[in-house]
Amino acid sequence: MTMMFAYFDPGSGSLILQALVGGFSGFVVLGRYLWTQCMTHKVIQPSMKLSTEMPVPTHLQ
Amino acid sequence: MGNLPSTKLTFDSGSFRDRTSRVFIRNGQVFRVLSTLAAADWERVCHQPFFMKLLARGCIVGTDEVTGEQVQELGIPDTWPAVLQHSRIPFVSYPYEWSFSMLRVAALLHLEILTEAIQADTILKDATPYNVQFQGANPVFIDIGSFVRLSLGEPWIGYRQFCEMMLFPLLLQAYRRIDIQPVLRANLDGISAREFLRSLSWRDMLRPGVFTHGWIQSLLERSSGGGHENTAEALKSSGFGRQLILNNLAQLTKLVRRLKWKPPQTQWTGYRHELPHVRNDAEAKAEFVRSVCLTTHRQLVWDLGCNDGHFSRIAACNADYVVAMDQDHGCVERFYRELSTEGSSNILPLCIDLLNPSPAQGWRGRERVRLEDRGQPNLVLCLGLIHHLVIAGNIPLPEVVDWLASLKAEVVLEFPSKLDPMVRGLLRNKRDQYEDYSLSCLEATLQEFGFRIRQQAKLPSGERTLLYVVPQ
Repeated sequence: MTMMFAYFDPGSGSLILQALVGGFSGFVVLGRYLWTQCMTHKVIQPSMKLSTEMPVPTHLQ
Repeated sequence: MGNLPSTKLTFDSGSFRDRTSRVFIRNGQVFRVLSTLAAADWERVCHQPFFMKLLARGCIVGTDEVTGEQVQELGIPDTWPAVLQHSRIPFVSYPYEWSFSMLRVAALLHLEILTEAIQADTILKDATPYNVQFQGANPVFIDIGSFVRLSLGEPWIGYRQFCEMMLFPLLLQAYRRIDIQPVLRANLDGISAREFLRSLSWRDMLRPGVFTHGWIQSLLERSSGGGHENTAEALKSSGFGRQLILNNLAQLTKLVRRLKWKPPQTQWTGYRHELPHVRNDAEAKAEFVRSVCLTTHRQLVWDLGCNDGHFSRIAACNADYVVAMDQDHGCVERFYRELSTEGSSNILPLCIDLLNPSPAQGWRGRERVRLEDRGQPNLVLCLGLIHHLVIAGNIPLPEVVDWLASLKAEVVLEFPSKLDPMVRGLLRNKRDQYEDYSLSCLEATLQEFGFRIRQQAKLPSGERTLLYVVPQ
């Protein structure tokens, strides 16, 4: 089953808000969403740092 | 999305945003073509009990599938696998012409349809008030192409659009008395949460709906604006379910139902009953209008400056449809409430300022059609109006007559002389530069612009004349 996409921008913040106004189960969803976001950024950032550590060419050493 | 049908048909100028479902008009009949994706959604939704129930109740526009020979006669390319025919809406109107209660019932209809649809694993893919039209006082949902399958874990994609185009304008009217018409006319896609909040005070933050749907939404939109991830997919994998949408819809329905706006008392409130000269003339005027209306059955009547709609009702007795227009939001709101209570289906009240009527606007100036191009009236009632256009609005009399002539309709015109108390009031603080404002001048101008005076009568007050004129 594929996700339907709108022909206009539904707005990321507005989509997140729907979990917030959805009651207790919405808070659970929001918690999971925020946790996933935190973990994704944690994982991505160190790997980005590593990628910037370019080896110095030997003739410049 | 790569195999979208080619667009060789001439589509309605306002039907282009959704490429999968487009409307065209042929010989006065309204058709909709559907892409492969949209046709599959139609096949699924048209047999669902909720859809059939709403269709039977008249909440959804009458729709039939066109098949076989008729499709060939219409010359529809094979790239559009399904064709639908809709019942015609007698007169298309736009949200910036509706009164508060009209936008409110349109919003409630949208929420009701969406709630029913979601329980049947279907959702509306957009949430614009342009998907609703009025059949008299009754709102009708017209965008059949908006029904799509609700995927598991998918949020309500149209929520922001609903807020921007329906909820925020309603809240502004209910809480701040900011008229919805100029807001929606200037912002065809509605107003953002940020713009909405700018018109409120801190005290309004405590009012229902403002903090959650306004302030938090604005905050989240700002803080999540720069991301690149697909939020809908992320929410889905976090366990988002349809019950969350239903909870949100229930809250919104409760909020919109509770919204109230009391139309203010203006100089036009009680106009027909309170002013002695108007009251004295009322019966003779009604009799004149009735006699004109009874001459023949008409399809479309316009009542310009309808006030409380008294003459619209007289015209509606012998016409298919009456569009009642007034620039006073309070008058239109009161009239709509009356019609709505009665369940009237052949009078449509609209907020129209004739000094600045709805123009052609939107993309290339074609998306939203100007008032005069949405249906030609057979009869125009122009009662108690001409002195406001000429003297208060400074429109030269020949200009007014020229405009009336451009409508190519019969006209019932009321002309108050300069001795009429209302006209005297308009001239009180002005230099009288209106030499063209006289009955003899009006008669000559009417003839100059191709009208023939068929009937003429002086009202009991002695200062007002009624003319029934027809184009030659």
